[in-house]
Amino acid sequence: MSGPRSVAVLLVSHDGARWLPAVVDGIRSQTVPVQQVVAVDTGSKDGSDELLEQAFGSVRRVGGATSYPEAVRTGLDALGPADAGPEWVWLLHDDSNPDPTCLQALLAAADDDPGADLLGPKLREWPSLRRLLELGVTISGTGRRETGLERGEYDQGQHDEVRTVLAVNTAGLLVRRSALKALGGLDPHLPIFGNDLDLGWRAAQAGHRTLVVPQAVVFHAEAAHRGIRRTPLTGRHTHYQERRAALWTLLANAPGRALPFQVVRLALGTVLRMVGFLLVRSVGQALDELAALVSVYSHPGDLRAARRARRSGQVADHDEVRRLLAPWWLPYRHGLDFLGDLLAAATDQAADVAERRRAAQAEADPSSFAARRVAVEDEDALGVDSGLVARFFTNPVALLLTVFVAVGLIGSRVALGDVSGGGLSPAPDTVGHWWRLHLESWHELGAGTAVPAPAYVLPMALLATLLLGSPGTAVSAVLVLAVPVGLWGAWRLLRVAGRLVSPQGAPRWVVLWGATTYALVPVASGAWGDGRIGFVVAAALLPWLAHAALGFADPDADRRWRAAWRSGLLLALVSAFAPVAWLLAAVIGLVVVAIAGAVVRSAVRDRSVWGPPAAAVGIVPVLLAPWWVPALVEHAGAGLLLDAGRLPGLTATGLELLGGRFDGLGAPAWVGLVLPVVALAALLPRATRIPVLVCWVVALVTAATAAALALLTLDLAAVSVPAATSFPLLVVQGVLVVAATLGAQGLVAGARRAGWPTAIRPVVALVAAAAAVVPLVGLGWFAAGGHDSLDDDPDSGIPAYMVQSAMTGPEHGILVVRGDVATGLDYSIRRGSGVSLGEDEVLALSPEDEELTRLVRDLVSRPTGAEVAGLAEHGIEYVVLPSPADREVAGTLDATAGLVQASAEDRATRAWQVDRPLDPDAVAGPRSWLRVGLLVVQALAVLVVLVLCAPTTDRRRSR
Amino acid sequence: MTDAPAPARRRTATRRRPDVTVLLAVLLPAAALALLLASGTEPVGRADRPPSTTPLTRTLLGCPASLPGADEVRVASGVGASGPVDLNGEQVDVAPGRVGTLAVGGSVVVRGDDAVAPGLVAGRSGTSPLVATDCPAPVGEEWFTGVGADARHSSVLELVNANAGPAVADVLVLDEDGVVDAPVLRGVLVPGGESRRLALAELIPRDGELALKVTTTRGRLTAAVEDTEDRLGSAVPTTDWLGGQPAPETTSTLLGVPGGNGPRTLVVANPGDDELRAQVRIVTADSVFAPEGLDEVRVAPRATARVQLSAELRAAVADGAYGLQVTASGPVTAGLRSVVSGDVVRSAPVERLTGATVALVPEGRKQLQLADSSGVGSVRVVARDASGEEVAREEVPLTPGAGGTLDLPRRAVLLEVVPDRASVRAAVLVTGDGAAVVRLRDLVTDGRVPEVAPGLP
Repeated sequence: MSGPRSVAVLLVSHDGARWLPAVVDGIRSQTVPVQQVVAVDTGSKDGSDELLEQAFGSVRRVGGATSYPEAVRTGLDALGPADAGPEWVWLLHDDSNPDPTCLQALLAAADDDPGADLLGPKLREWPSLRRLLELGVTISGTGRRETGLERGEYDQGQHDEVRTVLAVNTAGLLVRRSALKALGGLDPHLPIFGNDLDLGWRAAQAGHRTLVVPQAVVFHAEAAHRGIRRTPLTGRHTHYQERRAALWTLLANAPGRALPFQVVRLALGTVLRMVGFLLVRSVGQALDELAALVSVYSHPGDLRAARRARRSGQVADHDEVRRLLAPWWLPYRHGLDFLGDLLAAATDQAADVAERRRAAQAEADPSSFAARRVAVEDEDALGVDSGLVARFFTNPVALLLTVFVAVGLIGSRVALGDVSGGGLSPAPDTVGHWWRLHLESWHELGAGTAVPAPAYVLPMALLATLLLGSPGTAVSAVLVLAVPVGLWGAWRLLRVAGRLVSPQGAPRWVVLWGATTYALVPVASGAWGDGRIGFVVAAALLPWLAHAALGFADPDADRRWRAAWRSGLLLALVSAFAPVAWLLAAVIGLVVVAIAGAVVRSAVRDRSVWGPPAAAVGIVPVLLAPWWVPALVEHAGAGLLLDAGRLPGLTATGLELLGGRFDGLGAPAWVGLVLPVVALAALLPRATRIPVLVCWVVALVTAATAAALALLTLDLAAVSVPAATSFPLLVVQGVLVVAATLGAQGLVAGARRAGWPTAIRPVVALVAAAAAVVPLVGLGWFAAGGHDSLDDDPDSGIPAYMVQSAMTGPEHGILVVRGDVATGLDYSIRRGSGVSLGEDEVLALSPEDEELTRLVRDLVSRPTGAEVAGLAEHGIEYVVLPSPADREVAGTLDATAGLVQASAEDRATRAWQVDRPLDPDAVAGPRSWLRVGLLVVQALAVLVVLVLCAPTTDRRRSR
Repeated sequence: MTDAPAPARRRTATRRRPDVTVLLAVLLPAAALALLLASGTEPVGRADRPPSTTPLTRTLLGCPASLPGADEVRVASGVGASGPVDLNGEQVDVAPGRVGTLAVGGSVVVRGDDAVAPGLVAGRSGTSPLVATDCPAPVGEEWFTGVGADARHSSVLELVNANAGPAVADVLVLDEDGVVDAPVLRGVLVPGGESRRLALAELIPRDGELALKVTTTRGRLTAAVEDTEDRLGSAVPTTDWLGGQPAPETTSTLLGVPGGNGPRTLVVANPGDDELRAQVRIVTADSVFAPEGLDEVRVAPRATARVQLSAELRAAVADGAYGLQVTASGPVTAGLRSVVSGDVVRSAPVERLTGATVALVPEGRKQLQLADSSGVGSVRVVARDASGEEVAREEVPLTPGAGGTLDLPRRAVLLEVVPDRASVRAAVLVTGDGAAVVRLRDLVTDGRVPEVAPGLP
């Protein structure tokens, strides 16, 4: 090392009294002499200026609104003329405390590398002292400040080599005074944050080099960045300032040819980042993002001036600078990491309800069993880490699950391609059809109706849009994936349920049995084969809903609330497909909260206990408002108690409800009765009797609800149907599965402790064998196929040319009259390409148009020209009597003037064309602003609930 | 929800007081199962909605073209209404007890509107030789049994379209071997307001006894068959109308069997897909019996069978018999062709008469023949001549299963027949220059208005 250099310390402070004494000590204890200390105070109110005055004799006081660059300029001015004063300036913040050898190390590096004009120390966290903050920084293409360090990385000397970097933090920056002057100091457009990056970038472009010297250490509290210190410059929006600085730095320094791209990229990136922030409920930061973008983009003149100034001093080629910038792929890597974090948080969420309860219990009572167990589990955490593939192939449960899913997919082969039949109408041709159905308040169906589209149209439309706009694919996907998704959900639910009951959880074989048995419920019941998409979706989602609802038992109130939004969203989704779900959830919720209130009195007073379940149930009508409210207004409230799909829906006798079968459908009925028997036997093991009883309580409430529903007969215009009891059937099956699983868990737990008593061994073996038969028979029955009424080519019996004509406009309707004179005639009006999925409910729930009924009756009994004209006014182009046509009616219509006989492929089908001009506005109707408003409410509610239930990545909240 | 307590503690605990979980473990599932079993649902069936009736406001009848000596079309109101009736555009007045007449050669469309629509009847008849037919209303399906398509026995099917729109009929032909392939008889188009005559001997020449099923597939048609017997060289051809029946029956009663010498052929057709056996019995005023020596007739599926009854009927009619009953093991159609005194007479199954009716009959010696009464009751008969004057008023008592006959004045042309407390089958046999049969059927006074309701798509 050559002789001592002249160094001036430039210390800027603002409300830094907390740290200043240490900083002053740090400066004083430097192992190399400091020629001069210039202290600048920017309007501190905590006595910082006096501290500085005591320490260094004098202090320059400037206003509180002075930016850091201005403060530095003030300090530099105080040093006197550049050629006379000290050669080096050492910038320090009031919260950055240099290690005693810091300056020495920096100067030594400067000596070693005389070409270096800016040198920065290694920044470590203050007060933890060992965690690394920065070792030089650079900036990514999206404006992210890149340190190249892991978060909270400990300093173990792993980065200790002197390197050329783009920039170093101004806290501890040792800069050649001449270079700083040549660069024009710090950019006054960057008052607090990011001016170091800009300085470094400008320096690099001007041919100066910046070194990071890890041997020099400065401890930095990052008070402003962390929001500990608030200045008039940062305000409350540190994120805004940081982001603004990043945008400014990128746009001011980017090479000219890349500028247009960069402008567009940063704007789009801001939108993306806003969405991301909204998803994790950081609304403030999202707004900061937007404000920063607007702030920078709204002053193009400033930017142009800044770019001009930089260009004038540019010496280095941009390619040389680019080496120092972060690699192009880094933002994408961060994006991936973010998604991974999000996914981990999402899947982690409730799987750990059991653990979190246990942890909370342990925290509350460290001497408890729970606490001891937590300690033991932590030790076990470092298990054997073998390869994923090896673990898969040596795991019979995983293999069986794979086989199950594969066989299930084979069983659902008929659902591939366009399917309809049974209770399933064909999917529309385009997803736009579904969107229109959802968004329109008046449907040009039948005689024209304001009855709203069923709620499931929205999720189906979303799914179809995701699947490249193919509703047929969406229907197939739902049918094919129902079993695997239900299996996955049931597996997760049963594992957590088991671990809520005891720490070991249910044996995996038992969980496997339960999950597969449940996953087959929609199939074995016959609903799948009958195309009851509502039931199928509800069955696939129910375990996920139950899993989310377990979050109500979380020890943390914030998590309980998140469980509420999550359960609410899932309940809304399930209710969209099986409307009775909401009613049942409300009843079960009431009963459970009532029982909980009776057992734990304090729970009733604590809003965070009863609030979440209430919110989950209460949010559903809001989320489904565009369907719910107009249905009631339009006298179609019966839809709230009906299944989705064609009417009449499926029915089940009491025994069938118990066995999980629908009337005349499904796998062999006796297999279905095994489950209730096993669930009854599950009450025998003492260890798990209480949780099994809880299951039976739910079963009881469900049965009571079903019994009440069974008393209702809903008289619709076209048909009378009993209220839907299919969802209660599903819940009963689910609850029986859970009860049986828990019972088996109790049995195994008891046997592990005390061994298997000889007397019960045969009984257990028998029950286990019988239970094993349930999923095996179900799966085999499903895979064998041939039990469904699904078809890929529905034959409507309507001649194709009529359908083609009908598709040219809603007024080209087809009046279809079925039945015969002796037993009565039924009419319906077909429009467009026919009734597609989502329209059945609209038509079935529309009230009778009595004038139209009268018109049709007159037409088929004693028609005159008035009836024919009436048809045209109602937008009916063809009249069709499908095979077998009633001769009497056919003869009457044949003899009617104004009806021209039309041909049909099937000679037993009769058809006529109405030979009168059709009214183009025949089925048009008014727009309902109420429904438009409700659609807006729904969209907002979905967004808000999505944000509220999203896993948080904010550590303050997730803690 | 933690692990069970240790066994020792459990034992002491249970001894002290009964375990509430055991109680719940019994009560909860029991209640749940009971409620579940009570909450079954079943599909709600839709009840049949029978049509309501309303008085007709328009009646259309189709009369076939005339036969020699039978130019006159007669119309009457069965409910005693008066007003104009439209016959091919010409107005003919009807009044209570009065018959309106118009001479038209070709086929005739009879239209009665408003007051004269309910119970409007029309017929065509002649007396030299005696021929008669009623003018039927359009029906969807009609069977004619014992039709011929050869030189000796030939028939002409006449389809009359009473409406403005076109009509199409399909004709199914059965012979003794089965269904006759007759593409020319499928999709027979009859333009609106016109009629079409199909001479079977020209279109599908063949020997044997045939049966026709005329199905109207488009529009509305009335169907009638002229049946000609030509005993080549030995006599002049003789023609009469052949009555149809709307549907096959397991028991068919054919009335109007004339007396005298001549061949009598019963033809039975089996429209079903299984072979049937038919028993032929003879109907008298108070009994129905099987003639000796007459075996069961086997009728092949979708085929006809011929039974020669010349000897049996000649003897039986002489003893007072006037009808035949065909009882089969499945629904059949039947027709009897008698050629007596050189005149062909066609007898066909008679429908049951449940209410008051009127019949238009030609002048001549005539006998009302009744059979198969549903119970104890009577039939009141009023006969009027062409001027509306009452020429007879009689009452015939009825006993279950039996019938009776009633001779009526020669000049009677309008019969009002009212069955009382029983339903019965009835026909009028007119004899003179040959013979003709007029079957009585219920009047059509009401139209059916179907119940209409919105249906599922």
